[in-house]
Amino acid sequence: MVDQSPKIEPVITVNSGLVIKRGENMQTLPIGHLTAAVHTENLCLWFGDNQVLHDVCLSVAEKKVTAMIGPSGCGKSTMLRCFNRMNDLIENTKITGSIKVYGSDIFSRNLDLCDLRARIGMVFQKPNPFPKTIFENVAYGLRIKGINDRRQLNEKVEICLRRAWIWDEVKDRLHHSGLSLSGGQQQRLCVARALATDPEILLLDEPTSALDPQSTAKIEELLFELKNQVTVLIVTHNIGQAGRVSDFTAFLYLGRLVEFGTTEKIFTTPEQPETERYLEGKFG
Amino acid sequence: MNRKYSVRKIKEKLGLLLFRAAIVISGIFLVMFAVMIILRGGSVFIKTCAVNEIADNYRLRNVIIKNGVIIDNKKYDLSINGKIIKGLLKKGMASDIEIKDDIINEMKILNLQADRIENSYARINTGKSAIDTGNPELLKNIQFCIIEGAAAELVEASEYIMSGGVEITKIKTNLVFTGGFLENISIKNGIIRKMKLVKPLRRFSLHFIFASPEAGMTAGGIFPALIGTFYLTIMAMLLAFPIGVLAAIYLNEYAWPPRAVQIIRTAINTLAGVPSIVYGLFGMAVFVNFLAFQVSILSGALTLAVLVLPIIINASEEALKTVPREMREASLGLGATKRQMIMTVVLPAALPNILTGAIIAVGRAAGETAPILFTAAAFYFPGLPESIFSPCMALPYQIYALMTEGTARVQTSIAYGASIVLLLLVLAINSSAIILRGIIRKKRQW
Ligand SMILES: Nc1ncnc2c1ncn2[C@@H]1O[C@H](COP(=O)(O)OP(=O)(O)OP(=O)(O)O)[C@@H](O)[C@H]1O
Ligand SMILES: [Mg+2]
Repeated sequence: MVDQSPKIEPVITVNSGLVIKRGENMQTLPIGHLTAAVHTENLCLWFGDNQVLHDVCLSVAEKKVTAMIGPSGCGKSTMLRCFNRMNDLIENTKITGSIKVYGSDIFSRNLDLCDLRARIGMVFQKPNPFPKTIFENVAYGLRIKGINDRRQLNEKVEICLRRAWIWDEVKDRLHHSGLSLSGGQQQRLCVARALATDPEILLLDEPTSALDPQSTAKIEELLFELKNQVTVLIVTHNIGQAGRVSDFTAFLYLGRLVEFGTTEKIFTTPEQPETERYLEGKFG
Repeated sequence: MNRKYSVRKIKEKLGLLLFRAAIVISGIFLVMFAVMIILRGGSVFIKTCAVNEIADNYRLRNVIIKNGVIIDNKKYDLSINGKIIKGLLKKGMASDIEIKDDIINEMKILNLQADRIENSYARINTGKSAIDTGNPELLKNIQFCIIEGAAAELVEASEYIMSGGVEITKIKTNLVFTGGFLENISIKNGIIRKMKLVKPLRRFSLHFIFASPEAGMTAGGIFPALIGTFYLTIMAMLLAFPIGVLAAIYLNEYAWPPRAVQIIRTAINTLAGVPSIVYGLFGMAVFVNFLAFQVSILSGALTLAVLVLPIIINASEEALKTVPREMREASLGLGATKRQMIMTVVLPAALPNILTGAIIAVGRAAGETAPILFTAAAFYFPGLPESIFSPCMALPYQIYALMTEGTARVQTSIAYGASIVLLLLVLAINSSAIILRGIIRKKRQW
């Protein structure tokens, strides 16, 4: 059980350097004997007095794509942001329950939070490029790791921009501000930025919400490519997309995990009536 | 529907009017300020440095001098380089004209604008010059009308005599005719036959900025005060800027424990509102006496640094607050430590606004009189300061001293001139900050 109040955050975030290791007492998923990269138990979260998450128990299968769907405001983003402890930054947040990454508690006192966040890449719901050049945006994750070798950076930046399907659009203006891009371009830039550090777990919060169908298809291709290498957790309002790209689907409703299972099962024979209604487009 | 629309339209118009009025009023004040200060102090930047010949070979006919008196209200013919101008000689009478070898040596002007001037006279010495009027103020309203065109008001001429009395001796003049001089007047049979009109060449000069004060601060320049203020301001900013920014980072980013932070913030806001004379007393007690830095640049700079510190902290904190949370999240989300996040994302993004705060602080530090009154400023210290342990002159204090203790009228224009220089100094320091801010903004492009 972890109780958090804001700004009590230790002044120095790198402490004794407990680095989470893969393979140590990892949970298994109830389905298909898969191991869980991320596992939550009775996760509750309050923003002030407003309880946003209610007893969420969710397992995210390692090296699979898990989609999180649910109506707007049901707590998907909040849930996602729990996994790399981004909610720490929001005042008056209280969290109870446990979140384990590779079996280790991420609220553990002497956890190396920076290491955790470096290994969990995140694309935020709202595109948030740095007020730096496009190149520096993508190179940022490497630079803070101390990688400054020009050739290595050039190479990595190009690869990531290509994978995020934005290379052709920006290759001639890598040294322009990232903020000079359009909303959809910024979104893909943020994807490229998250890819640059080779995260083991990728949290994507509606990464294609501002993209045209072709770019969306390319990002989906990227997800297929990442499958079996990276654990992906994607929030999407596009049911079709969830159906196409994900292996597992979690349906969240009013801060509760209503149903979780393989995508196939959720989409064909949902157990809960809310899930069925949502998938049929009756609400949300 | 229609009526409602028109009401809305009127409201819109009124709103626009209000905003316009506000900007116009601000503009008027600024323009008034600039015009006033330039009118009063601009003269210190003008020096009479040479004489420019503008015409030779005038012929003045029909001016009859009887018993040394030019008879009033006479028609005259004036030919300048062949061109004849006819006119009427009025409003003037010259008496006691002493003519030697066809050259007017001395002439007394009488009864000009009757009640104002009586026994002023212009002494004309060939070669050597100098207008020696008993009281230059009295010459104000004289209009010498012997030659049109040369006749402007004597106000300016009298100003030189006052501000640049030294200069006038260098000019080979016979007679100051209000901005113009007559030379080589030759008179035969009571008729002026030949004369030369020369005009003083007035030039913009930075002598005022780069010279030391002379003659008990009634002449010369203000260089030591300028340098003193420059040192004080730069040193105060070098001390206060880093400390202020770092303190703001602590308050805004780390801030622990909250209660203590609240107390610190309140204290800082209170300090920002404390009258500057209190800082002066504080500086005297702590830096001058307790730390025994004496009255010195160091004490003054430290006092000014304490004065601007709250301003810089407040401005920096506001600037840091404007950096959106999303930006911090992006950085932390990639695994940056808090320090990395601050150094690579938050500070660069906040820097332009921090610099805006610093610019305000520069103006404050350069312009304050009270804090340096007891800690750094010397009333009269014409040399340049040798080290940071010596006192110095400072512009704001010099202005204050000139206006309160000066007696000569010329000191007013020196004080205003010094204000102009102070403004220019602040402008120069600020411009570099503004340019720097511009470069950073350009790079940043929100
Ligand atoms: N910073 C915050 N402070 C306070 N309450 C918040 C904050 N962020 C989110 N909430 C609340 O938490 C609840 C869940 O928000 P969340 O962003 O997780 O929804 P979501 O499922 O991602 O919705 P959407 O699909 O619209 O993105 C909402 O009711 C919202 O009001
Ligand atoms: Mg969301």
